[in-house]
This record gives sequence, C-alpha cells and structure tokens, in this order.
Amino acid sequence: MEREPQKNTPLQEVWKRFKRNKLALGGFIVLVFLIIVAIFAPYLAPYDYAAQDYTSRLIYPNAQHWFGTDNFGRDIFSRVIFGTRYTLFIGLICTTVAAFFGCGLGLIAAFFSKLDNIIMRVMDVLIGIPAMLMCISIVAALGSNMRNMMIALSVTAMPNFARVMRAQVLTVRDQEFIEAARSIGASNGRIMLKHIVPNSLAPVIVQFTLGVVNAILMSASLSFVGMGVQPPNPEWGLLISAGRAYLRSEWYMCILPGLAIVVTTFALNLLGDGLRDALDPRLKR
Amino acid sequence: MQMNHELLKITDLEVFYTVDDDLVRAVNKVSLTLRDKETLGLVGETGAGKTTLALSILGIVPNPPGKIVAGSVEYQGVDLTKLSDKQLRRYRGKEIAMIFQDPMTSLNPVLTVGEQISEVIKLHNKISLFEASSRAKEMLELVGIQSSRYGDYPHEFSGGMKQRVIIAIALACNPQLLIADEPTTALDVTIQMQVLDLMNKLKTERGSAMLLITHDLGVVAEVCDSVAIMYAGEIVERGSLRDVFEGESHPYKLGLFNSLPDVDSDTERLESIAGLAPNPTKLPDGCKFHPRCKYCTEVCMAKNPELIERETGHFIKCWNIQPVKRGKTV
Repeated sequence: MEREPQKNTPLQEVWKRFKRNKLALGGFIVLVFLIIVAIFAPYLAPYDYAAQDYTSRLIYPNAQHWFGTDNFGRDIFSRVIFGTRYTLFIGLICTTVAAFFGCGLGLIAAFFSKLDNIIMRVMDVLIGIPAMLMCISIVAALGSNMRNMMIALSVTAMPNFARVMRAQVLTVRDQEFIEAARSIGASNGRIMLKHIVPNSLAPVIVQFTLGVVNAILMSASLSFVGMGVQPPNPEWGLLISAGRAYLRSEWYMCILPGLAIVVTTFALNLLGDGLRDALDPRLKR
Repeated sequence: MQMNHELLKITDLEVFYTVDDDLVRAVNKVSLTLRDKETLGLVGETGAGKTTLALSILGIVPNPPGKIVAGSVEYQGVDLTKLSDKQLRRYRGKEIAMIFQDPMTSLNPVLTVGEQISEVIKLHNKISLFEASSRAKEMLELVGIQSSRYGDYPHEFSGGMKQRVIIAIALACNPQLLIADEPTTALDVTIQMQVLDLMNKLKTERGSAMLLITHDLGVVAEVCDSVAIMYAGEIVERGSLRDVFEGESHPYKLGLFNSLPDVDSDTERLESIAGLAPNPTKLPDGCKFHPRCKYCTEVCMAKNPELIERETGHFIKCWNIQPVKRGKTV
C-alpha cells in the first residue's frame, strides 16, 4: 500500500489534543457509558422499575437490591437506571433546542446589525429574570408536566447561546475571507451557513456541554418541587424528592440517586472543560 | 492588440463612510476607464481610498458604515451601482474577480482549498460537484500546485501558495476583469515576483483586464500599461505608464518618485514628502495636497483644481504642474 503523508483534518487535531487531557477523556467515557445505560435500560435493570412489592419495603442496599428499595418496595437501582433515560433525554433535547434557536438568533443579530438591538435586548430580558423563577412561572402558566418543563428549560437556556454565537459571529464576520466569499458572488445565506457558522461553532460546543449540565440540574430541581416529571416516573430529582421523608433513617433513598446526578454533571463538566481547551487554538502545543 | 473597447468606466464615483457622525470621503469624484486587456495600476498611500474604490466596483463596500453616494460604475455598458444585490452576484466572481491583500486571512480556515475553488465554479456554472472539483484541480495545476493537494486545508500551505490558491479562485470562472488589491504586499520579496509573474501570465493568456492596486512603483513599472495616482480619495494624476513616469508631474507624484532609492546617485538619506496624509474626516479646503506641497500658492488653498488633460490621455489635477524632469527614471 502506498503511504500517504500523515494528514489531519481540524477535527482530528482537536481529538488529538482532547485525548491528552485524561480527566476530560474520563468524562467522555462516563458520558458514553451513561448513554449506553439509557439505551439498554430494560436489559440492564434487574427489576421492573414500577413493580411494587410490599413484602420488601425500605430495604437497605444489599446483594439483591444494590441501591435498596423505597417505601413501595420498588428497586431503586432499577429506577436510577431508567432515570438515566429521562435525565439524558431532557438534558440533550432541551439544550439542542436552545442551541438551535439561540444560535440562530445570535447569528441573525450579529449579521444584520439592524436587528441586533431588538434581538439582544429581548435576550437580555430573558437573562435578567432568574432562571429558576422563569422556569417555575412558565411551568405554572402552561401546566406541570415534562413537556412544559422542557419548553421552560429551552427558553431559559436560549439567551446564553444567542450571546455566545453573536460574539463569535461578530469577530468572524469582519474577517477577510468573508469579504472574499462576497467577492465571488456568494449570497448572504450561503455566507452565513457555509462560511460563518462553521467558524463560530467552537465556543458553542463548549457552551452546549455546560448547558446540558445546567438543564439536568434544573430538571432535577423542578421535578423535585413537583413542576417537572410526574410520579411514578423514575426521574432522578423525583427519586430524591420521594426519599426526603425518609432521609433520617433510609438516607440511601436520597443519596444514591443524588450521586447519579453528581457523577453525570461532573463528567459533563470535565468534558466541557476538555473540549474548551482542545478547541482553543491558543493552547495548541 | 486592440485596446479600444471600454470595459470599465467609472464616472464621478463618490463613496462615503459615516463613522460616529463624522463623514469620511473615502472616494471623492473619481473617474477612471479601463479598456479590454489593459492593466491599470492604482497607486497611493494607505488610506487614499484605493481599496474602497475596488470594493465599490463589486458593490461590496461594507454597509453600514460605507455607502456609494453618487456616480456610476459602468461595466460593459451596465451601471453596476444600479443593480440589486442578486443581479450583482452574477458579476462577482464570474465577470469581475478580486484578489485580496492578505492570503493568510482571505481563505476560509475550515474548508479545504479545493472546496473553495469549486465553490466559485459551482456558484456560476450549472455543473455537478464532480465536474466542479475536476475543474478546480485543473486550476490548481495551472497556478503550479499539485492537484493532489485538493483536499488540504489552508493552514497546510505557505503564504505564497495561499496567494496562488486565491489567484486560482479568482481566475476559475475566466473573469474579464481582475481586481488585485495589493496582491504582493503580504508576501516575501522573492515570492512577490513569482506571484506577480504568474498573475501577469494568466491574465495575458486569458485576455482579462486588470486593476492592480499597489503602493510599489516598481511593480507598476513592471506590469502596468497605465497608471492612476490617488491621494485623499481623489485621482491626482492618470495616464499611460510612459506619461506618468516620464511626463509632467503632479507635485505629489514628484514626491513619490523622489522618495525612491536611486542606485546611481550617492545620497545619504532618502527624501520624503513632508507631513502626513490628511485626516479623512477633516480634509483641507482647496487642493487636498496643499498643506504638504512645496509649490503651494494662494489659489491652491482656496480652490480645488480640476483634472485637466495636459497631453492626450495624460490628466493632472494641479494648479502648478511640474515640468518634465530629466535624468531620473524608474
């Protein structure tokens, strides 16, 4: 076989730098593991997450029930495994929706300077209202269920993406290759999608991983106060909420699902940090 | 060689920038003509409005803050300033192409060079991606880059090679007019000549006209048929290469030539034009050059001179035109 000289696409370069950061790599592996758990939850869970067994209520963690059982005799380990689905689904979908609309608005604001003030001041208003308060108001207005909570989470996360994107587009927009693209007859849409967006995405990717963390924490909190996922669904925040009455005697009911949240958010934070370093060309070694 | 047909005719073009309520007259009543296959050198110092003039031909002056206020840019009889953006797009890249100053920043870092060459081909021709990429490869070979480097990214090329890629992009659709905005300024001296030769060769082969913006008079003498000298947004002198280099003179041009090093004379210091280019928001009354001019008189301070034709095709905009100076040629 003919040996081509080693060539790396920008993506491979990023991966090479990312790999060097062992913590971030660990975060990435944990995330992949969680995604696998979420997909294969029915095969991995030892019990039916909704099956109640009044003969085995409030059992401490042991060989049969790794995370113990709750006050209805349900296996908490199985519930945590199924909870992964909710957590990742809510985290990823809300952040994706927020990133899509936020980046779109940021791009438009930066590219068409006439719309800049209008769009960004609306975003400022959204940022100005505390995120939790905002989510609670939206859910209170629309009704407490998972879909409405996801709408609320997407709306609160959107302005951050708009800001990051706008700042990035403003620097890319004035570069000479954009002028060059214009000089060969590219339309505005083409310039935005083909030339500006790919050059603006690096900080958005970092913001995305941190946004997922935020969405997961917020959804757990909202479910905890009863404004998100409704029982008997095994959402992690809901598991903690269910266990709070037993905190003094059966502490594991709160602590173990809580640990699941901690591990997930920690892994995502490490991943986000690693990506930021890997995508920042100034740190190139 | 027939050089009669007027390809580009700029008449009384005015382009203003509005910056914080200040009006910058970047291009002030400029008229130029460019014939088929002609190479026109546009010379002037930084901030004289050369680039703005070039951008306004393509209608890509950044707006805001820039705006074409008056005048016309006729390309083959069509006034480009009257066209919509959509209509103009058909000219950009296909009829009129531009080469930018800094090859380091005028290529998109996330697209391969091949994609960037085929982009312009695909924009202006209804052909498949495959055909476009094979034509892009031909273009690469034409500018002296192996076509196997089609899939490489700009950062894998040197500055001179990037400028070759940009030339390939500019020439990919056989434009009638090539605007080169200081194409060699960012390059090494040894590479400058290569790039210039390449541009000149391809331009002649394909029969395009070229507007070469530069502040290097050596480059002008090398490749241009005619020259226009710009100062503070106005054209102060224009004519054929011979007229401008050996004929009567605007004092500004005299200053430019006097500031060139001369191998024959044994001078310690090079002469410079006293003072600085004027603040573009507060241009002086009368002749824009008068505060720096050695030959300034009363009338210069009061009235802006007209561009007058001294000999056929040789225009000078001055009250005190300087006579032919013997013994100094470039």
